[in-house]
Amino acid sequence: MRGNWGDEDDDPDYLPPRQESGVDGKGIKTVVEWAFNDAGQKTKTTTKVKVFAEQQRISRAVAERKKWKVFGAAAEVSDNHSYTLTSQEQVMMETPRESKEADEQPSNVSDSLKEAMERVRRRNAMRQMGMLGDGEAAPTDDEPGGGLRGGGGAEGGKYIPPGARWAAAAGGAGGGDAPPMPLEDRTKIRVTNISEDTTEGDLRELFGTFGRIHRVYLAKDPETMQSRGFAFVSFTSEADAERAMNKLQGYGYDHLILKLEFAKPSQRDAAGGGGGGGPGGGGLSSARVSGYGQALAQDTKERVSFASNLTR
Amino acid sequence: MRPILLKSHERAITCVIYNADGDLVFTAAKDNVPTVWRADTGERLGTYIGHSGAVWELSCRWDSKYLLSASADATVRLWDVQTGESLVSYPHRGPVRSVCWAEGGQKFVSASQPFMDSPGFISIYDTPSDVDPSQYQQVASREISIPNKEKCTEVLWSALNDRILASFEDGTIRVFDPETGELLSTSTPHSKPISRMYLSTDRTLLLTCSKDYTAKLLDADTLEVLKVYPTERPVNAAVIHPTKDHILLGGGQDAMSVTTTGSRVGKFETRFYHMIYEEEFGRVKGHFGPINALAINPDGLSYCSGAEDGYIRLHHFDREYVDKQDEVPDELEELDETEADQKPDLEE
Repeated sequence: MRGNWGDEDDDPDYLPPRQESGVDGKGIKTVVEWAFNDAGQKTKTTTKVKVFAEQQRISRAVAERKKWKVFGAAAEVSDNHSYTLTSQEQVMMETPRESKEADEQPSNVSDSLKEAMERVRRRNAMRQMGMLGDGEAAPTDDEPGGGLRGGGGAEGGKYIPPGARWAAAAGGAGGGDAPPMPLEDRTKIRVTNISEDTTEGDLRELFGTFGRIHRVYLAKDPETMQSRGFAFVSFTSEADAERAMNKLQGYGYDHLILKLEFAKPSQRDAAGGGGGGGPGGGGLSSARVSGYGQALAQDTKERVSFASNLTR
Repeated sequence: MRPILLKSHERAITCVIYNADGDLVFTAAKDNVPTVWRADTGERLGTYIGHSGAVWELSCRWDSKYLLSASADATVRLWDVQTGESLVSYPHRGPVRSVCWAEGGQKFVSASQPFMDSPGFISIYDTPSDVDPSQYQQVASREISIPNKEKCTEVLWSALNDRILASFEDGTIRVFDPETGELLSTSTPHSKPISRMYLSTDRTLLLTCSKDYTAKLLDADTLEVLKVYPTERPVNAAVIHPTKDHILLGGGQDAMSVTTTGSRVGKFETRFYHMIYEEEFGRVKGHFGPINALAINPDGLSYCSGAEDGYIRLHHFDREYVDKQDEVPDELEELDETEADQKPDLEE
């Protein structure tokens, strides 16, 4: 099983295989899985599963066939299990609407938008009357730094489309050679001023009218599970993100006026290449072209402004 | 779902079927070796060695004792399911595209394609269950010759074995009398080749799928088109869910054009449609070639798909799907307010 003698310890990408213990006396089995998290750290997940025996009635013919011996080519090899693999990844049944909208642009955005708003209004009303259970799952932890990534609050100046941002900013700063923003940041919208009742599902529905959504992250208080009033919505395509941005900026949603902005580059990028917008329109690029020390300074500033976001 | 991948075929999968009890899965591919698997664990149970050409279709007798395979080597073979032994080989005059046991297993029908000067045939063979298979006649008890070298893609028995339904590459379904061989009726539900037909468990509904990008649900008796399920790619396989009002469609770009289409638009998913509202509600991804074959367990708890990529994926449905109640028409109405013509039939 083991490869080269030195491999196991030296290879940073090595992950021990999934281990599954037998069922113990209390009917509990333990599954140990290894994975890398977003920060590139190796994580070990231990899951304990209670196993129930379920009696199933099968016909006599089926029971008889259970005893059949392997034959043909299957009898010639000792290991028939190698022809049967259990998929490592979970396959979900996807709703076709998501993929359909990626294929064909919705013809009338405002109509479907209205529809979505109407549905949300109705659902909220139902929720208040207690007719509908709170079907929302706890926020998944797939974006641990989600809150931090947002960076500074208002960018101050007028809105510059993401594609033009870099160029405009670079021009202002005297033509730096910094790379354009990564696609992930150009499709990620930070939404603030959301009412507390809004769920991730509501946001998905609202933004889903513009195109295929990659991920919705609604910031919640880890203890109270109350919404903190802001969220991140990532689209799969830049054009969709921009349309959503144009259409929903200042849109009245559940009695509050939505405020949208493109998410700032993540903290990791900021630390590496400089960046992370401070207050002021051209902050983004001046950080990118400036020296390392300045980038660090702005980094801390960003954290401060994030903290101020919290109290707002 | 955590699908189980079955990988022993070396070429594109052509056919996947369950036996009547739903504990065995039989698969056939363009390699020459049909294979049987255990439906619960996906363990390979055995292979049927003997054909020298692609195997196009399989049919398992109701009691899971015998298996029939239709092959491009111009034979149909009768196999002992348990031992993998080839008991009878039925010679044909061209590649055999389809084979089907009659209800009760006293006879079967096969469809061979035109070859050289010979036209295609639909042939009926007698397989009385009180006679040992070694005594079976290898000569067809009735042969129906297909004019104009037209290609038959699938043959099925209607309820009570009173008629034979045959689909053709010109998009027609023809109905034959199995006793006289007479052509009873012809209907043309599709404009392009019909790739497969599937009868519901009670044999009252016929689902056809075609290269014209649609699947259609027909009354198995009158062949009247009841429902249409449009997609945007050729449909190669379709099954009706045995316990829910759902249908599953599989397909994708032709193998030929896969390299010239973008990876995202391959559309190799299994698609789930509501049978009555004709609305697509789910997709399951996984294959990286067009799906050629679909089969659903008679208990409705698992299904199997085989594709051009040579993989068979065995899916056990999540509890969530099994317990899911179909949306009520009210809600559908709300969704489709703008499309008044697509309102579902409230009376079903």
